[in-house]
Amino acid sequence: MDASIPTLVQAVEALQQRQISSEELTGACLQRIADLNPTVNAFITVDAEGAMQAARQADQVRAAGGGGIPPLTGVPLAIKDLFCTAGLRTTCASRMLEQFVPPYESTVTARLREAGAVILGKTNMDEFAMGSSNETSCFGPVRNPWDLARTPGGSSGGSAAAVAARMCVAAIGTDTGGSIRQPAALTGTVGLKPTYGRVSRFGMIAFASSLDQAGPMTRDIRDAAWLLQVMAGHDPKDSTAINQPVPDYVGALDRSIQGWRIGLPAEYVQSNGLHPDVRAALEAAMAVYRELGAEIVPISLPYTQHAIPTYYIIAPAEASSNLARYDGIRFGHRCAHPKDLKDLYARTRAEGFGAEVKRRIMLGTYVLSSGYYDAYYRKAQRVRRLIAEDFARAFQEERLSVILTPTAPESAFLLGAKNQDPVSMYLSDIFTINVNLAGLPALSLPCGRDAHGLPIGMQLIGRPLDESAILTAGHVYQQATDWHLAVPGCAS
Amino acid sequence: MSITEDTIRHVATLARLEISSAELPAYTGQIARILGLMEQLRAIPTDGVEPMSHAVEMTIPERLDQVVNTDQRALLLANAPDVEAGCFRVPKIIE
Repeated sequence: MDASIPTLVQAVEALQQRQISSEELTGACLQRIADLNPTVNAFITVDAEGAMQAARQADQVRAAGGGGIPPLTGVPLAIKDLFCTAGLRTTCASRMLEQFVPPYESTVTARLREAGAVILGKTNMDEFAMGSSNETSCFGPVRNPWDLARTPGGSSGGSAAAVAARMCVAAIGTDTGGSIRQPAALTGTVGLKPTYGRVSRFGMIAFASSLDQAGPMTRDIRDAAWLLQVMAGHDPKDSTAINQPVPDYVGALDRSIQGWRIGLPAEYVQSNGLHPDVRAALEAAMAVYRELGAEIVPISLPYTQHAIPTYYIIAPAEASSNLARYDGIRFGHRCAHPKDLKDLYARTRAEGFGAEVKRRIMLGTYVLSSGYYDAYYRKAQRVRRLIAEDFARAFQEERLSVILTPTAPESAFLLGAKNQDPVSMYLSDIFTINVNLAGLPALSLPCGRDAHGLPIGMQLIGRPLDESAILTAGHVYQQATDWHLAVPGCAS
Repeated sequence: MSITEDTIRHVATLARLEISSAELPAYTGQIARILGLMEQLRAIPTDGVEPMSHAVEMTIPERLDQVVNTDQRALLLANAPDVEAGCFRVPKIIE
């Protein structure tokens, strides 16, 4: 088996120069999915027929020539099974939606299709995006292409594994508390969570509406910039989508970072849970940045340690409200032989949701319930502001271009290692959830390997709407290093 | 605030989730531990801090009041678990 599936930019160039057709490239991806998916389990639904049809159409568009050929014409992508795709089953990895065929298309997938992309299928994930290991999927866990006994991370683990194992050219994920960045770190890939509101949430199945954001998952930074260029922008169908022009992300990549000030938060580097191998990789990355002319500036984000409790109040509260819609009436699973309406609701939801989703619904219901609302939910909203102000203050007072942190405290852990203990699983998100609470853009990129040869990721955090800065900082690092070129064993 | 099996049973009822007696102890223990994690927030002074409900300060934009989705009854009913005469069918609601 070869690893000849190109990156997105390589694919676009090869398609432009007629070195390969989309039909050939899409066929090659589908073949790798057929070979690897039985073990990796990255895809829930593979749309071979739809993909080949779209590929042939893309080839016709390119053959017709002329100007205005959309940028991604013929590029095969994988989409997290949380984006509604009209006519193509969308499950959110839940029994509740096992048979759900959306009547409409999400804005993200609509934009990708308009840009000419070919959709290979829908990737596996934690149920309703609630999890950090992909073990809460009702379709079984995804396996990490670097070591099949380990998790690829979650919740966008299927998208990350599909990119790492070269089952697609690139993929799309979503990130509520780290669900793009943590799996990117654990699979040696790149994952970008844009500023909250930069990408439309229309047609994304909601988990926590004030935190959810879609983003690209790719092999390198340049690919992420290309995908974000297509995904970002205002959408009248999402009232939280920011109405600001989309800058030229791709054009900004090749800037120098000479003189940039890169913040290094003490609370992250001194964290007890940080594995020594991850700390060593981060220190090596700092040396690379110094060599590239940047200055590493020690900073403090004192409210960091409160992010986990804050997040695990706010996110479940929003989830308990969002998931109230699954009532067995209009769509989704319904229990058999309900004796009355209450029984229908309670048994439908008991059968349709897995244990982690139920836990979060109950947690959210509790913190919102009468008598506890102020003590938990209102308190968490206040602390959320303090966490956001930490970042704003650091960026302003220290005149930072970006902030550098580890993405995850450790490399990929063994499947089964944490899934019996929700609290230890929640701690996997310790370096990523702050960014969601503050609404900032951040990305993860590979920066080393641990003693087992497993990938390690680092995180770059930017100012609001300054995706360009983190993309540039990531790109110059990748021009100077080769961690992003490594191919996992099962894909080589 | 101690979390008992009764608390969890009550919350499950509010959330319309059937939880069996066998599942109750595990959920109670786990949720109690998670809520324990949250106790640390109590010590943070937050008087005068405005609660933050959204990451981006913005007003809700208005759009023209126009019909954009015309009749989609068949499409929308296609996902329904039980349909009769173009309507969603549910168990008897009024005794």
